[in-house]
Amino acid sequence: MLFNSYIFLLGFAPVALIGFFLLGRLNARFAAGWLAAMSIVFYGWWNPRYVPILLLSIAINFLFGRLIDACRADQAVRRKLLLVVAVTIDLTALAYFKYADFLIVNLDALTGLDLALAHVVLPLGISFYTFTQLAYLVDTYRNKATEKDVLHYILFVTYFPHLIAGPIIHHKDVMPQFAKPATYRFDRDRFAIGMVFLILGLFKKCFLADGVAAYAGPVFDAAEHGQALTAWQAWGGALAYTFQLYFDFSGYSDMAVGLSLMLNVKLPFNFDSPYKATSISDFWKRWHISLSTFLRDYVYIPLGGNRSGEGRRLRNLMLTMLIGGLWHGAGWTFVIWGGLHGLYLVINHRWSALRGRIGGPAGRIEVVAGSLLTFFAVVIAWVFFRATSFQGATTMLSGMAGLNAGGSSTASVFAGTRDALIQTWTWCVALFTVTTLLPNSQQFVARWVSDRPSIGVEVRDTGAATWVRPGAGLALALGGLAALALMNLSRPSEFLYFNF
Amino acid sequence: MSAPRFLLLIALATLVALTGLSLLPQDRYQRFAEAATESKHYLRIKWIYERIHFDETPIDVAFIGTSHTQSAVDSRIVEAALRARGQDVHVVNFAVPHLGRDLHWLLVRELLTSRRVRELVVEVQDFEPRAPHPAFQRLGSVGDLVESPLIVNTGFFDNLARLPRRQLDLFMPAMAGRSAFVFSPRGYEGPHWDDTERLHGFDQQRTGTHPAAYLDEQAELLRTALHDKERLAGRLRLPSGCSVLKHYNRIYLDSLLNLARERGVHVTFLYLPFFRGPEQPLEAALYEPYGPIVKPQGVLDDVTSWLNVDHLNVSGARRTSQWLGDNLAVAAPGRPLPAIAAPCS
Repeated sequence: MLFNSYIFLLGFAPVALIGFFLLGRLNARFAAGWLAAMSIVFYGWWNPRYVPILLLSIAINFLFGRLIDACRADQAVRRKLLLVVAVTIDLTALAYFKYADFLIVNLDALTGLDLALAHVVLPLGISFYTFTQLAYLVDTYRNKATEKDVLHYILFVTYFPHLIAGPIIHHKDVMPQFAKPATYRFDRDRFAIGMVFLILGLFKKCFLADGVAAYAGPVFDAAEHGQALTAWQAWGGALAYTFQLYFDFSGYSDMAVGLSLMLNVKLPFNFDSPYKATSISDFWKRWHISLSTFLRDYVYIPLGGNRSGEGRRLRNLMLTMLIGGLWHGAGWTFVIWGGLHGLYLVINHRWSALRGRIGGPAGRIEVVAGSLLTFFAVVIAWVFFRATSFQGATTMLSGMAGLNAGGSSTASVFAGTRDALIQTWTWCVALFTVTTLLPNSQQFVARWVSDRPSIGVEVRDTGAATWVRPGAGLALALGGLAALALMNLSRPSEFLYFNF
Repeated sequence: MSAPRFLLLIALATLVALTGLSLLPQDRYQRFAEAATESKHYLRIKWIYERIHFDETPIDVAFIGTSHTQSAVDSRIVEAALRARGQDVHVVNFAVPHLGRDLHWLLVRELLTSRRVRELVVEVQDFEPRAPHPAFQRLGSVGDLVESPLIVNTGFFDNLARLPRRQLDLFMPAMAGRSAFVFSPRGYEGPHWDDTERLHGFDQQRTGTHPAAYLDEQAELLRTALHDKERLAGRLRLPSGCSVLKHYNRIYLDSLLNLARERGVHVTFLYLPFFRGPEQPLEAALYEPYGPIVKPQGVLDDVTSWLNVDHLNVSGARRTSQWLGDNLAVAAPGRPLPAIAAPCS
């Protein structure tokens, strides 16, 4: 089920919320069970065939979590062995569903064998729920999490606001909230704040992301077909995709945070104005924060982090980003995207070391230059992220480099729409302004709320959120945004991150 | 402001904005022309409006139907055959792919409120449909969509949901003074739009045939589906055409037929089933009070007439058109309408 669909907004969500709070008045356990059941319905709406895979994954991970937790202090080897087995099972399942054909194709290319493709269909959200559970297992192993209640564990994994496309949550952050009786009581202030996030997310997805998508797709498609592109066309397409991806995914994340807040449960913010980043390392503190935190805590640090010298640190950075790239999809373009970001981070760290030796605070020009360079590097990498083939990516890049002076006519790229290029650039300039100059969703909402409406990467539960007298003007403006979003809801499109 | 008031104000503002957008003005020609740009299958929709409103050639016999009629009736052949029989009439094929009586009613209303027609030839299939026609939401006015029956109308909310965006899309270019849809005689197809040889917008000639065994195999699937529908209708213990599940389309079919009667227009039903389909429509009782049901049996029995299991090829279309011209009884002006007793009312 899509958040941006009438069936979800007018059917599923009201039923889930009303049922949760009504049952919560009777018994918290009933309410948690209701939410878990509704979350499974939400997941199975696309294709019920994947529900057993999800439930099997939950069962295996819960079992291993219990076994790890049950180990005595003197059973360190057994504990570690259980963790390794569980992680291996998870990664094998992920590899089978996500990477089987990719491995076969590459094996065929390397060995000359002609193995038949497995044609495995990717279960929705498998990357997200696998990573969520991997983090749980590792946290259990590190004595940072424990869950004895199977119902709560099911709810932790399937909780519908985050199930399909994150944010990747941690047991220790979210489940203690379900242990509080106050969570099961309707809180009108939190509901209102959640609604604001939901509207902002819907607007970002339905109006901004879907609006600019019409200008990204044709350019990348033309590049895939080998059509030479002018610099204006190629840059227009690359920038359009840059903004489409941001508003699509951050819109989804806002909706997830908002829906969860309506249920009195805080989720972590996943974005913090990434296109305002002044360096690539700053970018990764602002983009898909729950994934970058996961990669830091569960890949980079276990690889050794920065503990074994500069050379090992840079190697670990590169490896972490390559794994991050592969996590997004089974294709070499994703590996190149991850590799590029790894390279960027390596350069960034070397530059930081050099800059540290020079000393002195960064001036305004240096900060602006850093921001522009970061944005440029990110856009170049997105070309590989979006392209479906290496050929398509290089065609785009050669266009962006101005190597196709004549290029193709705009009418041929945009199927007859001659003024599409002007529209593309109008969108891009407007969205560049929005992403670099305006506050992001949480900064926007924070003006009217005395409490953090969502948890950060580290949980800081500061109690019930309260209003700071938002005016009628804000309500009217939000109503306008909601109308613009709902107007575009009649043709719902999938969220880009559902594919990862 | 308290949270409930704040939420209420958001809801009100949203509602007002969406209602305001829905009420933006635009003209009908623009709606028809815009719909034609959305799908190659709807190319003829713009022409339909132009034929009714911008072409003064009379319209004596009008075919209303689906892709079955679109691919089976060449109006020029029907017209020539009728003239050979001494009937000086003008024939037009207004069929649009997909079966939905809401669209048929809308087209008939457009036609009969502007033109004097003698005979409507309305296509019937084995069963009346349940769902709305996808083009209804594109062509219907705000009033048409809002006043649409609610019971078992699977498209009601979807149609309303699309309305603000549709109205805005039609309004903006008109406001900017660059509406692409101004009638031009140079771009007009003429009094006949023929899709029997080749569908407009598609390259393929409609000349193919299939072996009888293949068509039979395909037809068997349709027969099974039909049988299932019959069983379901039996379980509901209603004549299938009166089933509440078809309430939506029945209302539009009744409105269409009543409108025709109000205007003194005779109706003939053209039955075009699939290859070796039923002898007569399973809901024949619905139509018989309003007019005769005709079927070019000989053409339909011939395996060489079929492009696929439910559409005729160009050869089948030519013979069907000729058969219609030879057999259609076009009502003389002023001939009284048959008395009716609607079977489900």
